[in-house]
Amino acid sequence: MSTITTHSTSGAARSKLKGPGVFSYSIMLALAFYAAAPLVVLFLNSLKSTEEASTNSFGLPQSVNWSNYIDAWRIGGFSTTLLNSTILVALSVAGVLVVSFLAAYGLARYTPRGHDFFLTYLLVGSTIPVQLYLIPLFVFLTRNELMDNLFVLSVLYVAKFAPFATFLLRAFLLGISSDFEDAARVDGASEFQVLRKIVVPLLAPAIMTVGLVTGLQVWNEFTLAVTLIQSEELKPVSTSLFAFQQRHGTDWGLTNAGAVITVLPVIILFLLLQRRFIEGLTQGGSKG
Amino acid sequence: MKRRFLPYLLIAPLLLIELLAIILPSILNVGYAFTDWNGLGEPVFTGLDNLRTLVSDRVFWISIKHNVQWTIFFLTVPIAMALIGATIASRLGRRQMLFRIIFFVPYVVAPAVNAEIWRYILNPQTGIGAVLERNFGWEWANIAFFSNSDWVLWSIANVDNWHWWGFLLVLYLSAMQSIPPELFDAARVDGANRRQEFLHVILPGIRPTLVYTLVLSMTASFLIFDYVWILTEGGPAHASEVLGSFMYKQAFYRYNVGYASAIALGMTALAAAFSLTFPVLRKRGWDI
Amino acid sequence: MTYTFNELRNEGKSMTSRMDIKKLIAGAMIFGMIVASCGSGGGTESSTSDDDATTDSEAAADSEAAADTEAESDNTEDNSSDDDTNGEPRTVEWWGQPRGDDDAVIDEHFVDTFNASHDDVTLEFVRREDHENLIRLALQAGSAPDLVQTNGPADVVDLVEAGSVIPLDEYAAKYGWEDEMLPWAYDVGQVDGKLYSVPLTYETMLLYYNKTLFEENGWEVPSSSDDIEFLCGEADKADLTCFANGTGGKASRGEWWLGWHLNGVAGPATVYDALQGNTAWNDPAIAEAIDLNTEWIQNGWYSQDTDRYFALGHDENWALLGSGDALMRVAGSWDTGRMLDFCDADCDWIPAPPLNDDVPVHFELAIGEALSISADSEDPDAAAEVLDHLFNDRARAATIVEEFAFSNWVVPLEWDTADFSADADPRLVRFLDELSAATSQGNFGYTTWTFFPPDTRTYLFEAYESVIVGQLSVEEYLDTLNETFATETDAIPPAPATGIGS
Repeated sequence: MSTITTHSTSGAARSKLKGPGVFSYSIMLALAFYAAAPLVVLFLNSLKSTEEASTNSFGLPQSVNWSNYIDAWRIGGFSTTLLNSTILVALSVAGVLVVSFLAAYGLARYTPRGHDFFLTYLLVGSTIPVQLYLIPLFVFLTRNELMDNLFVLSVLYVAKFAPFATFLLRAFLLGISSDFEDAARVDGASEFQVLRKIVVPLLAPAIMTVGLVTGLQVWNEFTLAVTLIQSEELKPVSTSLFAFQQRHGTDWGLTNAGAVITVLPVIILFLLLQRRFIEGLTQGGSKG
Repeated sequence: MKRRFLPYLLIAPLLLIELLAIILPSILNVGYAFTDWNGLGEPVFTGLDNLRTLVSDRVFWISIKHNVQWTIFFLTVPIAMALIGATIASRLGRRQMLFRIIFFVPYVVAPAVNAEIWRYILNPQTGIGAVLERNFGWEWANIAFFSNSDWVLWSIANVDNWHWWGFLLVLYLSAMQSIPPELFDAARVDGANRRQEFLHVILPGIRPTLVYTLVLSMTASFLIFDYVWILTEGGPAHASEVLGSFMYKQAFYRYNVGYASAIALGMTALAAAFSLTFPVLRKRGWDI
Repeated sequence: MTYTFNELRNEGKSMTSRMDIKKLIAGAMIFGMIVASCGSGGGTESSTSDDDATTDSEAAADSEAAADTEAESDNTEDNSSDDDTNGEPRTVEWWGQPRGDDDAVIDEHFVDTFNASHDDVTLEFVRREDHENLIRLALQAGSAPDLVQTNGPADVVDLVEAGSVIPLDEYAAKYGWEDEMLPWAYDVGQVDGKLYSVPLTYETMLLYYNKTLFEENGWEVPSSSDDIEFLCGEADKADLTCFANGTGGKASRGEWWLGWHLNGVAGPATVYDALQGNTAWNDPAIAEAIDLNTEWIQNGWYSQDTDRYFALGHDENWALLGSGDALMRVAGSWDTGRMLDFCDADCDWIPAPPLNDDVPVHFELAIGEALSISADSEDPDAAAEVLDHLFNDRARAATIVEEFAFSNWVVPLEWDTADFSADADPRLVRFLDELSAATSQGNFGYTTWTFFPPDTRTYLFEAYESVIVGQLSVEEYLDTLNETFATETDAIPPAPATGIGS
């Protein structure tokens, strides 16, 4: 059961002890500097020419080279890789939502026999490190010509990220009374209709949160992607930047621009929807 | 009739995907660990040979040492930063929102981008050390952070720390805001100062979350791969070698699939052992 | 507490913040528009074939590759096979690494000329990052391309053992390759007495130096380790970098200087003996060679200190050489292009000098890339025709060599200065001349990546980093090297015997 508390009434804020003074604010500013300054440096440097980026590392750019972005876009093949990542996210999130919604509903509402076993199975499955199954997966996919396949990778992502989503959705569901569903059944609705017309709308905020969180995890996932997608045309953004860096390592204007291109969609989305992102992850986190 | 099978049907897709994509390959990996194989042709059963070689392989022990050092770092630095930040933020009322967002942004950034940012900032020709040396003559400041054996592991840890601590902060902040305000009132009535408030109200109040993050940090520290791989591939001279990079190189560069599987098994065993300490200790009545 | 159906649905809807969904959709639309409008030519074409691949999970890696190549190699599209003379279009697939702007050179001078002169065969040259790994994967899956490009004969031995590549003797006889090629290059492709690979490019180790800097200081090019000690002493005094040598995070580059010392100090004959198993790797002569290289690194003669040795890569080092902040750089002949880019006016080269008075001037031999025909190939005859196209026209091959500034696709023909145009940089033409002359007289040595078996070679450069930082003694290092070599005696690449006596 989770409650989303609003912030201004937190106990600590009401604590009436002396409010945060200069010292506390200095700490916060220092931490904020640590968090934000590197990103600012990245952005400023993406606008410098490579020579300037090597000599004037931390100042403002003397000349603004938007051409770095154009070059990075072209050389890094970002139109391809951003599309690949988007495809991966779309497929994976769709898969995760469908699979985990069904499973969460089944677990929360029906408590079938073996329910505890299933929960444990999911818990164990979600804590197995990728390294333990990476090699056999790699061998199997290679021998069956399933390497370099975004669809296959999405299926793997569903397996990897659905357990967490299931736990989250299940927790939400447990907190919602099943009265409405029962009422609908009494009114003659089929199971499918109950799901579609009652449960989904009720669960909509949770579903959206899960979608966002999973999407973020898929967008940033590196290990599986770097091992299982080898060909240039299919690389997602998380690994193409890595390859880009390897090839153009010291062309700083270029590589920094590439990094900004990689990170901008996510940051924009995050700023727009930051409440959902943060709440979703913290809910999953604090539930363990 | 249908109702009895329905829950199983609902759960089936998730369980099936888990089984095929993760559980089965993991079991296979255990099998490969006892063979000698280069990926082409058939594996040859060699029993405990791999484990024997592993135990006498100095790189294995160097890797474990680094994983342990990493664990110690991650059990302290990011958690301390996050606790301090969260405690102060919780007293700020509405103003904390801006800080929360700034602190969290690095968490949504992909590993390759984080690596790029810090690789630039800490580069011996263009980074902050070089700037200090050039402008102030401070030669001691210009350390090759990702090549110097003494600094490399900590430099990589810093990159992961920068990415991770904001997430912890948001987690702790959420937990703090769920502490019943009455506890704060009671402390105030008893004349507690801020330090006592922190130790006796806040820390115990967020204990479950705190414990969760400790366990998470411990297990994850044995599984690290992304940042080490992107920044140094475990070099130079194994100065930043961890179990993850060691395994990866054996599997995908040296084609020692059997040996790599043995390493993966070792990693999992260590991570699992650490993650189990907490529930086991708690069962024995440790108040953690 | 009763709710009607409708009240409930409304409650559910209000729980979803409409603002959030609107923002999400807006964001997605903007994002989608940006991606679609910024698509560069190659990118958008191949992305449609991605959609096909993702919706049909049965798509074999091959057909994906074919679809991608159609999008990628714009040139080959125009030359699609005029099939009909033999009924079926015969396609030969070759996977190589992307070379950026240089790809156009290969397409124009090789792929297009081949397709134009062959009515019934089409060559598809596919660029793949990390092609060696991909090829290995494809071999496991049974879907390898017709032409298998490897990093040299050492890799081929593994493939021969797994039965992944076919012998080329009948084609060599048919096309007369033995007569056209440099004898050692032809021999190096033999495994168990049969020809399994032909070299695509051969190379050697050179010492590049900043001639202007040397002239200004009245220095002479080094021809012995004493000379080098003198020069590095001067460099220390002037606070310059003696050798702009650094691994830049890639341990494998360390083998360049190890190889230089093995051949330069212990001598090519000793290296040959060790490779044949007649001398142990922990022989004192070899230990001496390793010791010298380690001493130089620890003295700060490579990139000024060991940290920078590990940190700086090619571009950074060439920048130092070009700006006169470094004296010399020992690197492969594949760096000639960089010499022209970074240091055109000021730099020149000599063969990597011997470091022991007993060893004469020589060139270390290396094959940069080799080509074999996969056992999976449906049409090996067609593949062989592509191979022959590399060697059967000196003028065309010379043009390609020139376009690459002699750094790549230097096929091992018996070259002559006359083969090259008057515009070719004389420094580069001289390189091929001297290399041919020296090697035909038997003055050659052995590079680690061409002549050492794979595990031995990997251990050589990987464990060496631990020697540099003092964690591993040279003794332990060489003892283990010896043991590793002993496990690979059946994987030793063929090597011609050097003419240099020990």
